[in-house]
Parts: sequence; C-alpha cells; structure tokens
Amino acid sequence: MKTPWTRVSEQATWQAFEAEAMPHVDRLFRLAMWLERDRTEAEDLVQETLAQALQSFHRYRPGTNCRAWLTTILQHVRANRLRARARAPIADAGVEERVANTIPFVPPVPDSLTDEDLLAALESIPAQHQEVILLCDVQEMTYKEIAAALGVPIGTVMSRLHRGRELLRNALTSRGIGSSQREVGQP
Amino acid sequence: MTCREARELADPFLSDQLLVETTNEIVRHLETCPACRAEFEARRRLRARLRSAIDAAPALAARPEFVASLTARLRPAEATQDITRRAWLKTWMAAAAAAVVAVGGGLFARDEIRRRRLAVLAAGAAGDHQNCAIKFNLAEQPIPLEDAARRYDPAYATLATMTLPSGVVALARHSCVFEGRRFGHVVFKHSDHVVSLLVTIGDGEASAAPALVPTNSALRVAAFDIGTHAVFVVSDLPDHDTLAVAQSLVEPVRQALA
Repeated sequence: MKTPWTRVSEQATWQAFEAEAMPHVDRLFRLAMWLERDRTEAEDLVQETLAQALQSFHRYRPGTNCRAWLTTILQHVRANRLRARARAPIADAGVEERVANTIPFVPPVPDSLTDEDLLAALESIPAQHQEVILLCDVQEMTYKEIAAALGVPIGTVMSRLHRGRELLRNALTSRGIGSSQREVGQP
Repeated sequence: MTCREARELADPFLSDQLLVETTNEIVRHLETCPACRAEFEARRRLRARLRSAIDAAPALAARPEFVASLTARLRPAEATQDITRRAWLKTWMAAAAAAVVAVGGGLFARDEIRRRRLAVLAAGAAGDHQNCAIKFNLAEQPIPLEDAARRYDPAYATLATMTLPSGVVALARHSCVFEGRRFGHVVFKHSDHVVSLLVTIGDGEASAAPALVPTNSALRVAAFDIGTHAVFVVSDLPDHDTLAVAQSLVEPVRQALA
C-alpha cells in the first residue's frame, strides 16, 4: 500500500512532469508518426515513451533540453520494440561511413515551396538520413544526444547528416527547386 | 576562424549549443564572410521550414482523444483517494504522523515545482537573449511592443516607454517568441556587453528580489517577480554584475508594470 508520502511525491513528480514534458507530446507524436507511418504504432510508442519518462523523471535535469531527453527515450523504446519484433536492424553502427571532407552547400528554400514539396523531398531520401535530419533540425538535438539516442558513434551521425543534406538538396533540385543555384565558393 | 571551422559548427550554432566565446567567434566570422552568412541563413531557413512543415502536417497530428487518454493514464490517483475512513480510525496515530509528512511533502512539492518552472522560464529567457539579441536568429520576427500589447498582454506596452537607469541606452525594444513563449524584450548595453531585459507572464515563480537562476547555458540569468510577470536579466557579464543590473531594474520595471 502506498504511504501518504509516496502519494504526495507522485503528485509532485506528475505536476513537474506535466509542466515540462507534456507540452512536448505534440511534436513527439509527429516524430513518432513520421518514423512509424502508422497511427496505432505511433500512439503505442508515444504512450510507452511517456510512461518510461515519468518513471525516470528524477533523472531529468531541470533546465536542460526536455524534448531531446524525451526523444532519446522514444528512440530507445522504438529500438527495443523493433528488436522484439525482429524487424530490420536499427543501426548499422558497424558500417562506419566516412565524414565527407566538404560541407555541402544548402540551397535557399524559396518561399514558393510548399510544405508538401518539402516533406515529399524529405520522404524520398533513405529513412536513416531522414531520421538524423529530423532529430537535428526539428528536435534540435546535439550530435551527442542523437548518437546516444540511435546507439551509433558521433561520426556516423555527422556523416549521415552530411549525406542526408546532400540527398535532400538533390531531391529538392530534382523537383525543380534550387536547380539554378550555383555552389557558393569559400573565400 | 576559417569558413570550414565555422560551417562545421553550423548545427550547434543554430541550435544554440555552443559556448558564448565560440558563438561570438562565429558571429564575427559571419560579419565578414558573405558566403558563410548565405550558407548559415539557408540552413536556418531550411530548419525553420522543416519544423513548421512537420508541425503543420495534419496527417502527423495526434488525435485530441489520444492526448487526453494518455494524460489520464499517466496522472497518478489523487493523494487522498485511497485513505479510507476505517483505516484512519484504526490507525490514527500513524495517520497523524503521515499527515505531518504529507504537509512537509506538500511544501517540498510546491517548492520543487516552482524551482523547476522557474528553471524552464530562465532557460527560455537565456535562449531568447542568445537567439534574438545576439544572433538575430528567431524563427518568428519580433513585433512592436504596442502590437504585442494589443494582441497578447497590455503590460508589454509599458516596456516601450519604460525609463532605464541613467547611462543605459536601449538598443531595441520589441516583443519576441522563443520556443513558444512570448517575451517583452528590451536590449541594451552595459560595460560593452549586450544585456537583455525579458518580461513574460510567469505566475509568480520567481522571488521579489533578484536572484541568479542556474541554467544549462553559459549565460547568467537573474530573475525577479512583479505581480503576475516574471522578469529576467540575461547577459554574459559575471554573476555579480548581472545581479547588480537586475537590481537596478527592479524599480523601473515595478513602476512601469504597476
């Protein structure tokens, strides 16, 4: 039986969790939907993620990036679920990709580009590259956080980002966007 | 700093994850390098577009019923729910002792929640200072305080005319949004450092007298409370100076928001 102290502590934890973690549910769900492409799977994933996060909320350091913390948990939960289902391997950590020597030029995104065009271009690149771009650019996670969340070395995160952006640039160009952009030279 | 070094740090720069010194180095490089400036601007815009596209896609949105049921499932039962009258009568001594613990726990819980909420607000203030006053890198353009007063909170209008301590000249006064939170923002210089005064609706989480709030950022944040608003002073000045600047602003802010 729970003591009054336990119950008060649970309430306090919940209130802090509700204030800090729950506002991120919407974006967390959108990420889950993007990764899973299935509403039921995404809902299960987010529910399990939030339940685990609440249970280990004492480990969260106030003032740090709560969204990144939740995203890391979501990635771990997802990896475990995929492993349990014996689906495709999550991370090809053994296949180290070389970080390219040049930093790709990102073409300006014209205002005429619709959200649908942009998301279609993102969807057209391999899943592992979509994932790192989303974690870096949308979830604003550090390379270190992404590496921990995906269980791959930081070098792999950087090379996937590099390659992902290159592929995204090509996808945007093939849709007639940025095709007239010239590479900007370095002084 | 070379173009290569700057571009390698583009992601952490745009996500505000660098030390102040490194950030300043990049800002200095961008001031003199149009190619990198164009590259950083393109990346910033692509990020902003991706974020808004993901956030706006109806197909990716959670069902409201799902969010409601998730919250209901996660929320613990009320603290008093399963204390039965019978148990109370049978073990009144134990229950009395438990009540003392509960009161203590309640106070602890309240303080803990206040502390966490203030830390979140302070981190937001530091992020706003960094992205608005230093890097001009907000996803949403700032708007005049008068507009913000009409649309969101009449208190913002008073910041437009608020008198600053003598010798302090405002560089900018506007209202801006960082990570979903709106601030009234006055930017000024103190001892050659850029300082931000940020006011937001804060439910009285800070104390009346300025106090430093620890954040994950290298910036210093001092906070104080005026009625229903939390006030933050953010700078890269030392602790003592940041606190002194905050102290000098208490009266002007209090008079403006009174």
